[in-house]
Amino acid sequence: MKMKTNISRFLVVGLCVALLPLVESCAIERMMGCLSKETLNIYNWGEYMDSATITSFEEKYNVCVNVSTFPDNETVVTKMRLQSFDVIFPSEVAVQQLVSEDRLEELDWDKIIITDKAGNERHFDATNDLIDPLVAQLAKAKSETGFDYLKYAAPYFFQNITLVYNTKVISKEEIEEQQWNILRNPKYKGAVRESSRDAFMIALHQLGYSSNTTDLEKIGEAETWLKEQKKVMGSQIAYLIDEVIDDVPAGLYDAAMVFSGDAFTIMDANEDIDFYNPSVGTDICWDSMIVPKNAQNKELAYKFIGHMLSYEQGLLNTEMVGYTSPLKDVYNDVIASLEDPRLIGIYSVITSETDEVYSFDLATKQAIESAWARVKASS
Amino acid sequence: MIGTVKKAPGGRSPLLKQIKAYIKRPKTALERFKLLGIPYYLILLVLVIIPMILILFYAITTPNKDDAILLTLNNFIAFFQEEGFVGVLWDSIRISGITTIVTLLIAYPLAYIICDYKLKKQALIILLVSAPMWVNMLLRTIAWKQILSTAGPLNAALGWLFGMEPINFLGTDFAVVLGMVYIFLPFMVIPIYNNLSKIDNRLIEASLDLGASRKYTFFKVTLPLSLPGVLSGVTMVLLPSATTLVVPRFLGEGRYFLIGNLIEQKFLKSGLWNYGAAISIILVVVLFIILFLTKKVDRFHKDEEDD
Repeated sequence: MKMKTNISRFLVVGLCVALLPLVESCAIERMMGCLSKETLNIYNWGEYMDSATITSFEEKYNVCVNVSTFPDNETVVTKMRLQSFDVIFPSEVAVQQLVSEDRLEELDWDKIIITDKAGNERHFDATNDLIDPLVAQLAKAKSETGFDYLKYAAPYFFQNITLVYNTKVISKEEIEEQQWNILRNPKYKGAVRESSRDAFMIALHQLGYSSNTTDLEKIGEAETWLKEQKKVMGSQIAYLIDEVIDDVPAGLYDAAMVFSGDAFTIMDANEDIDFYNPSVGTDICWDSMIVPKNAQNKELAYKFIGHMLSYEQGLLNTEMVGYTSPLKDVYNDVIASLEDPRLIGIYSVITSETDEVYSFDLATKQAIESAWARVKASS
Repeated sequence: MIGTVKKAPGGRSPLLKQIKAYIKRPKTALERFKLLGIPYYLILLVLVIIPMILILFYAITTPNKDDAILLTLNNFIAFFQEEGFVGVLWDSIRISGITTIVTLLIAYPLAYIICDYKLKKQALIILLVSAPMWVNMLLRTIAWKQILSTAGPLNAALGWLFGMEPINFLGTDFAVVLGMVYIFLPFMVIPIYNNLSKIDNRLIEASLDLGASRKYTFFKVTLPLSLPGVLSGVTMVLLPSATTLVVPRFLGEGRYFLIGNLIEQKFLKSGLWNYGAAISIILVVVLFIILFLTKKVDRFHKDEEDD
């Protein structure tokens, strides 16, 4: 009996310690304050904005902002059915899917007011305020597929998928010669993104196909390529998500495919690491701010988008996250402030003719997902 | 139950009145005691039975283009036909089996030793065993990842002591089993300890008095009496380790693709809920068979007692 009281005493103390952060007075105060204020619900990637941008928005409009985070676009598409958010930050892929499912509000650009570099409040001017490579991609997408992103989405960050490699281990000549095949070379330890779409993108490009192919035979070839990669590499390959950001600078991998924004952080942490955009082709992507049809507070959502498209907030975000800002003024100022040519190179997101933008096709997406499960299950 | 109510006088009162009469009738002590179980039954219904029925429903149906629902066994057939998927199931069971055995081998002696301490110390040690559970499991797994990586402290120590080249432990059976044993150890120690501490010491004294050696006493008295604890420990380790997602992902360098990862992929990434549900059902059946076989050990032990 005595032992029992002892255990329960320990448990009570332990529980109290564990619950301490919950009872923090500050949190309660905030909770009480938010009951009487207007609230804005935001759904973003983890570690994808500077919290100061949220605080300044809350102060400016005397509102409360709730931020939830998601790990991938698939989660956004599923979660949006169950919960209502005011502003969401998905990739261009998900924007296409959501538009095809008629779940996005058409943006009313008249309601989006930004504060530019000079401090003037004005409307956003897509052609002059956005960086040239993004404007080019948007125009290309519009002319090729007839899809106008700006009708539904405000650009947030711009990036491509690139190869980072350790220059102490792999020479530039070698990576130029082997392209994505460097991740199939068991001499080097490689990391592939744990994402069906991105893994198939490198296989398809390396095989000389478009990464948007809907031809199941070509997807089958890519599946074989990836299975062989898994077999040949053995313990030399890893399938990772955000861990690469810490693991590549720590020297755990010799080569890794990453988003250019993550590559920036990686190269900033370790000067032996450089990047290469394979000339066989890679994918260009951008994340956007969208307003779903089931948003509760659309007026405030427009104010928030304007806030995030403003010069000052754009600068804060790009400095905190390391991803390339699509805002021309921010972009130019960041490039001007960088000295390391590697970092200037990666921040500029240099694109080439062979690069592509993902176009959404449900049947192909499902075929690739199933094939990816088979790749992961193979030995 | 309602059917057993005696007809109200007059025999023509509507059903609603009958139900009211049934609810308001005088209850025996036992009946009143049973009412305490209602919240439990409700929770069981909402959190266990309904979800199970939903999973089963998803598993045996397929959505049609015209929003109709068709009954089918194709989801199950597809699993067995897909190359490598049975291998994934086998791998999961193999890893969770090894984990359970290793955990048992560590937990049993530990629980046994703990029982020899004074009560105060016992409480402290049990607290220490369960203390890691207060820290988020994801955090602990990532900590192991740091320890085991080629740039981690384990390799640094090995290199310093034996001058060894760094070994990549991540992505090996060793790392995955180690991570799982670490995570699930308390689930094995606590039931075994609870069971061992309740064994009447006089039984052991009697055995020793009657001339049995310590070893003989352990195998013939202590071990059989502690089997129920061992069995609940095995259940509590085997089931979660067969379906864990976090450990294989972080300690397996993404190369380990176990059944839990497969189900997650089918549900969240592919959106194939029916297929994912079918795989879950297959897993449930396989685990149920394994548990059934394990329980046989206990039954055998009961038969022996009867003789």
